[in-house]
Amino acid sequence: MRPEHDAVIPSWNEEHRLLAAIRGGDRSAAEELVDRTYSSVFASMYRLCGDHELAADLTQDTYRKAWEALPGFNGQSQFFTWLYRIGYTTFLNHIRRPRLMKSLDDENMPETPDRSPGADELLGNAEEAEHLREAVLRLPEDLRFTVTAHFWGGLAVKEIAAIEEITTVAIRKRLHKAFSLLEQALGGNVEEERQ
Amino acid sequence: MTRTRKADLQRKLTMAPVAKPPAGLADRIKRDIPNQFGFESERTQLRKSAMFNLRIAASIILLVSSLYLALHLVSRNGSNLNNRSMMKASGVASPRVALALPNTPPAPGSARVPEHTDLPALPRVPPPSSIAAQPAAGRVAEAKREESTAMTTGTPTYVADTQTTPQLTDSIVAGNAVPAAPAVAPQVADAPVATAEGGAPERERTMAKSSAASAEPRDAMAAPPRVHNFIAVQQAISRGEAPRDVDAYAFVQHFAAPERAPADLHVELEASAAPLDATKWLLRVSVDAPGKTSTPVDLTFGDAIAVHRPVIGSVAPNETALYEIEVKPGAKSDDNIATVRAGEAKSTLRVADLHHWNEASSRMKRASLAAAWARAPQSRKQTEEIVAKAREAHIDELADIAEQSVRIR
Repeated sequence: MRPEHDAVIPSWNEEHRLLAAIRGGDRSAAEELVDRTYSSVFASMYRLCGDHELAADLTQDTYRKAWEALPGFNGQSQFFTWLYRIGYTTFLNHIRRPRLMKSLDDENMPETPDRSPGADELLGNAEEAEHLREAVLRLPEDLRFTVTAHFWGGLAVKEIAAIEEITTVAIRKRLHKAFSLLEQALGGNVEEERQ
Repeated sequence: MTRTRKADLQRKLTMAPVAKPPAGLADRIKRDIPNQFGFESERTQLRKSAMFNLRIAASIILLVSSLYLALHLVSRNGSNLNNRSMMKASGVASPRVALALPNTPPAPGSARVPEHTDLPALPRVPPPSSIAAQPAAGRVAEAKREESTAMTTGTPTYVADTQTTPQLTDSIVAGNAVPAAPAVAPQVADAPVATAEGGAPERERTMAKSSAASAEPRDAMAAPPRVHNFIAVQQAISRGEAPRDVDAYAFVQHFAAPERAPADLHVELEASAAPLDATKWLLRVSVDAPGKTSTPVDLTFGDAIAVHRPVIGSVAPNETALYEIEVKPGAKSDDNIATVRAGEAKSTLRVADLHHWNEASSRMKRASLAAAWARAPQSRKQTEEIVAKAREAHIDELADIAEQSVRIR
């Protein structure tokens, strides 16, 4: 279930080589690591926030924080997993700032017109995707991170379990619970729209 | 949730729109790459790690030490509490008041327990001559040798075995066989024989009657120079110091010596009232054996004696011994008090020979007064009485010492 941008993420051995070079003061290695990962980080940020420019800013902030925290990176997880966690925290910090981002419950938020009568027809619709994003972002924190990291960040269940320091079974339970909540949320919308 | 619905949700989440990063984003990010990432050198990391480990180790050591100290204090307090509770349970009051100890050391002899003045005035009793004549190391060696001998031979020596009852019987018979003295001194009627009524219990009387004194050969060279002690007393008094720890044994032997050296073996038995207490009888046994220090001496008490107690000295050649004796109330004038034998010399004392201290011989007066003075501590009145009696008996040497000791005190 890896996204398309997985191809650019460096392998484990290559990642270690680049990190060792960065520790040695090799700036070009840092640039190479950026080249290999920034599009994936941007894609994840875009899926989280749904805004092109904001995703770019969040991506830049993510790397800025990553450079500061890089000496503390212990290498126990993949670099991209660690980077995604930073990006996700950056995104949460951003949306928690008042007035800097439109709240998901904001009444002034432009409503997306529902042009499709059925739920199945909404799948190909960008507006329906926005509904899905909103529903995901309304999930509880642990479920929201698990869903976004797995489906939008492209992290494997094992990687998420490692970064959350829980078992893979617990991650799968989180996902199952998240599906149920999403179904309720999206199904309710559908019923409301039908009425 | 149906499997189809779940698959649809997964598909929707996976197929979320993927936007391409804007142009120039990579450059923006790369511009933020710092020149120095803040990586510390391995040496710095190692040093920090070592410092951290040292801090942890120091904390653990401190914690363990504190714990040990706390447990130690708690256990000590617990033991003190236990002791106090035990003392309380046993009725012993625990000291609650802190005692203020003096800064200056105590005066020599100040820790001595004062003697009760209401007790009978008795001089100090020296150890047996067989022990006192030997140095401490020699006594210990001899005791060990005797002990080892007894252990190897398997024949232990008991106190009861050392008593010479058959000899006593013979002595008593021999004493009784001696013809009675023709005359009884008139003082005997005034003598305090009646005061012996209700004296020692029957058991003590039996023990006293069955005992016998015998002298063993002694090494004259090993005997301590007793006169020196008398000289030491004189020197102390001349320096204005009160004589302390007077060797009463040596002091009495000095004054009980014969006025003239006897030509041959000579024994003396004499009994008179005590110089400071006329209700008590003193028995003097003097054995003068010039050049015959190994002569065996045997003292046997007769059946007129109810109780006898050694006061000072030992029955041995060239020594004088004093005994306090109690005469049986119903004793007759010709009853035997004691018999002493030293080689071929023999002397027997009978009840009729008892006399007042004023009628005692000069040697008896010297010995008894020296013994009375050598007892420590004395009251001023007793010492003054000793001085007066010594002057009266022309024992000026003893009178001077006693008189000066009174002044010093």
